[in-house]
Amino acid sequence: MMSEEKKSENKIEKAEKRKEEKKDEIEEERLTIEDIAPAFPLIYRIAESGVESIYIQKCNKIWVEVKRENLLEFCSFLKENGFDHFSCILGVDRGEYFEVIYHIWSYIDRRMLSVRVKVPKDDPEVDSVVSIWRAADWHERETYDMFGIIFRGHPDLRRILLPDDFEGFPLRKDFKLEERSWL
Amino acid sequence: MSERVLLNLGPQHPSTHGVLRLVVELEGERVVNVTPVIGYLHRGFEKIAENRRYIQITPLTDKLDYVSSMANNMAYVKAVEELLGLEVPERAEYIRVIVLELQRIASHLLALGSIGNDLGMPFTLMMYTFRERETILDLFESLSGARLGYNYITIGGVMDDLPLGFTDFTLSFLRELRQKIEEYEDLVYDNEIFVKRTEGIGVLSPKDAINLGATGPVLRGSGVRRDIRKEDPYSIYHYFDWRIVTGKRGDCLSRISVWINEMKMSADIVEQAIENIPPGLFRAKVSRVVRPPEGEVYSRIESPRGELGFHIIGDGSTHPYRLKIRSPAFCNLSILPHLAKGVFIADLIAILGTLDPVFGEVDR
Repeated sequence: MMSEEKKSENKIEKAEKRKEEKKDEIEEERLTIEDIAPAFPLIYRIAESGVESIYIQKCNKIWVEVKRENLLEFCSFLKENGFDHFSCILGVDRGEYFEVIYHIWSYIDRRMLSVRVKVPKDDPEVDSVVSIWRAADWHERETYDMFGIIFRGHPDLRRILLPDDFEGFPLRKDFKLEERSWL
Repeated sequence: MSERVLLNLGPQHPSTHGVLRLVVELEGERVVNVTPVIGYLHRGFEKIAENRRYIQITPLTDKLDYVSSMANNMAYVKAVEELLGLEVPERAEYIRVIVLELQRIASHLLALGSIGNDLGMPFTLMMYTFRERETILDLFESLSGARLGYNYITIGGVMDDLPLGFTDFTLSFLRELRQKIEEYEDLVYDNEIFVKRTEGIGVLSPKDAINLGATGPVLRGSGVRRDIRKEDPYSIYHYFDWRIVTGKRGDCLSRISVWINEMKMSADIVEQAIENIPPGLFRAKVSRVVRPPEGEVYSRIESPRGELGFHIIGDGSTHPYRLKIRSPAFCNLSILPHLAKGVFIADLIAILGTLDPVFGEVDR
């Protein structure tokens, strides 16, 4: 029995080593703006429109970080340039701050642009994008429901999945899971 | 000017496809405003997933959209594989495509059967469509041992190889299905009442469909030729010869026609896959403890209902740091208030039926 356990441990170690090697390979292959610019010239204008950082994961998956103040302006710029399908919003609790990620797909260019916005925990407010994509309506309500992030300018910001009298925001990391008392 | 009446439909109501509550404002028989109230089936899936290991999450995904579990398994597993950078053997990808397309047929059969109930012709359509759906469930039972909630597609491949006689039985079933689909077409298009109740009802223009975030048959019913299997290809869909099915007018009948034609297209894909399936491994070697590196991935597939996406954030541990599900039924249901303005209350139920929500997925 012991030897088998050791074997499996060895295997795991080997697998991890292999993974690390793979990781190095991926990092070497990281794409730059120049690589995708011939097929997607809009990337230069995106880079100039006040974004904080760009990370190109694949040739059709681009991650962008935007300041909270510039979000609405940046989103309307995207809408004008063919990013018409609003795929989803998600909130993330990163410990010191929240992050809101918008996934937007362009049906014309066939590219996904994911926009990150950092939101401080003591002032969890961000502009609503419902005026740009009406699809964002329920997604923003859900993010409010789960994280307590307030979307300024949303027409009807109420809880959606949880009951109205629910206390707390369950997907925050400081939300304690408690066993229900059945009696 | 007649008086306005507030009507509460649901959450326990036969024609709301599950636990949906609709607060309808009526003026006579016309709908002025609809407010869907959802969340009656909310199980906190995203929170549960944060406290589970990667492998333990796959059986949970079965319960999302319980009439198309295979698609949910695939969407989750694909996201994890992208995070791991794992290559899946070709045979496994072929088996996946076969079961995914069979699942699409089964799901559309259910939708087509229940639209008959919504239109007030109970059981005629449902009896026939459930006859064929039963065969697909039998096929899945021979694969995985379960009729609902298969947990068949796993990280690295599929659970088990195809059993003996599976391919032959599937091919003979598909031949039979083609004839049956002709019967359904007669039953739907030649039925004057059916056509009158669905033609020109709940029209969604292509521009609105895109802006409101519709995906799947709802989007294609409006004549927008978009499908993730073609646009952002995954698995091995680019090996096969098939085309995207669209409707013409964006009304209830064209959404129904998309279901019927997509079943034929899926049957084509399955036949091609079975013809060309190579020998080999059905599962890649994956360590027992899945520990993806730190990173983020958002991957999507075309489930029977539309775009099903999983966003997974890994922090290098055995549990995901955050898991988000973009469910197609949730987004398609959010269109209902826009579609249902000014229609008759009986048509509201027909429109809801063609949006085809499944509440395991809407509420998560």
